[in-house]
Amino acid sequence: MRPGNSLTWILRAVGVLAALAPLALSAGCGSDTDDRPAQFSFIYPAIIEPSCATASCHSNYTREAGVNFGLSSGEAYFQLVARHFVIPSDANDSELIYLLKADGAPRMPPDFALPEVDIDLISTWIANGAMNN
Amino acid sequence: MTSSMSTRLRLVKLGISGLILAVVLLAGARDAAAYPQFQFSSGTNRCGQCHYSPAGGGLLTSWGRDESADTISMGGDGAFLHGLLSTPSWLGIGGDFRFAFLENDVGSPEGTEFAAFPMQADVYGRAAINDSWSINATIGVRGIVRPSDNSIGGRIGAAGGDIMSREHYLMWRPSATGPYARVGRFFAPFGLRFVEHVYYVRRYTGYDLYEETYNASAGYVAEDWEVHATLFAPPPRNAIELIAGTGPREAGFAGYGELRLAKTSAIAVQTRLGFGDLESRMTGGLVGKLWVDKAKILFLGEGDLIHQTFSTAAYSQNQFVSFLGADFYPARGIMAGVAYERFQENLGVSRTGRNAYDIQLNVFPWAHCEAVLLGRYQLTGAGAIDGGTASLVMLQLHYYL
Repeated sequence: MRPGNSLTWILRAVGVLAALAPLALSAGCGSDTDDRPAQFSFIYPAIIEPSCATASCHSNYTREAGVNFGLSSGEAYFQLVARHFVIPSDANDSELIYLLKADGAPRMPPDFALPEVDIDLISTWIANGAMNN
Repeated sequence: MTSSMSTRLRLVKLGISGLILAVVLLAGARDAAAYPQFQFSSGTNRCGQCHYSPAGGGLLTSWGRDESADTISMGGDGAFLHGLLSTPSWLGIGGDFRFAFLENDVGSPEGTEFAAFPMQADVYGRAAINDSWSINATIGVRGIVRPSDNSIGGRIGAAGGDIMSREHYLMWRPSATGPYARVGRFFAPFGLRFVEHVYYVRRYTGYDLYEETYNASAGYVAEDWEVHATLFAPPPRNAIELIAGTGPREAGFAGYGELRLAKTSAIAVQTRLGFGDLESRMTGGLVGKLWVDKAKILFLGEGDLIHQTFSTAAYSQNQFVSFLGADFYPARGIMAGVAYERFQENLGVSRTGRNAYDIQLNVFPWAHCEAVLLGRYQLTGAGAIDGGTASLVMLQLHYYL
């Protein structure tokens, strides 16, 4: 085999490995302990903004049900609390949790359920007083 | 042909053109349609051969229009309006129109959701100033999946009110290969660049629907390699709806370099560094494609690691997002694909992952026409059924100008 051919096949093998890499990491990893902060300054940009403020839902464009989580963290917090989606210190009676769990309410987000650990983190934030922290 | 017959024929052509444009303008803006599945599989080595954009997507070149009929579709004429009208060489016009029907089940007590809605209506325009410079713009009407009035009339009415421009840029590109530069709004070249925005490698990397940024970008495209470097910033915070956007408000840099081998495979390295008020993301990843001609199968893969920091919360996390798919081309005009996707929002916390399994059939019965049937099944959690499940079946009817 000529050197040029060898290089071609090596690079093609690397390409195939790159394509197959997702499978190697597909099983998931991580600890059972959730060390993420139950603070709105984490929950908003890490969970609410990417899951809820999407183009077809609660974004600057669409504002489903009059709710816009795409303007800013402060505006999202105001809408959650002022419109009683969240009742501070009372996760069990907060509509947001019913929506996320599809518990007698339509599933939110409407394209897939959030991981339970994300819903638990939001519940913890509400139980801790739902502060804009 | 008499002059009156000629005039009548011209009027008929104009009428047909106007009708198609009117239909298009009743639907919704979506994405500059890009089909990375056609690289290598159609005999085309690089995206910029078929598209005016050096990184692919959007308006087709005359080569791309020919390929869309002669190679990709079962027949027909790929030229603008099927060749009924021709535009002057300095002017390029095109467009994409999609109507979708979907069945969506996410375990909601309301049961399975059914919807039919105009998904995309974009008109593309390109005006060449001279051999090197051009002005490019896309204008369309936003599609709305769940309007307050759920009837077909309500859906069309809701979509008709919001005109937007996802792309508008000035480009210097003296030839199809070689250096280029462009300034304006578009997606910075990155990733596999699928048309489907629901894929995790788009949704979680800053390339979801309407997340186009304002950029200053430059690159070099050769026959067997290309590089693209882009400085990007989000649309202004209080921008009018025509140019507004969604997604994290990050500014930063994106880089993409691709090496192609023997016109059958490609490997690319990429990075995206986005800095925002609330969070910042440092992304690095690999993209791979391999065309196996004997089997008529194209393998596509992308994997990205993301380091995300939250300044106010004083916390950081690592994420992983990937796509692995294979597309089979059993006959001209037919493409069947399967794919597996993975996104883990925090590699340090188990059960923060989600998996998606996709199956897709694309049929191109005639130039300009496509039907897409997509099935998608998602699992949240660690991969076991400890979170929720979601299933989606969607039929898209697609027409391009």
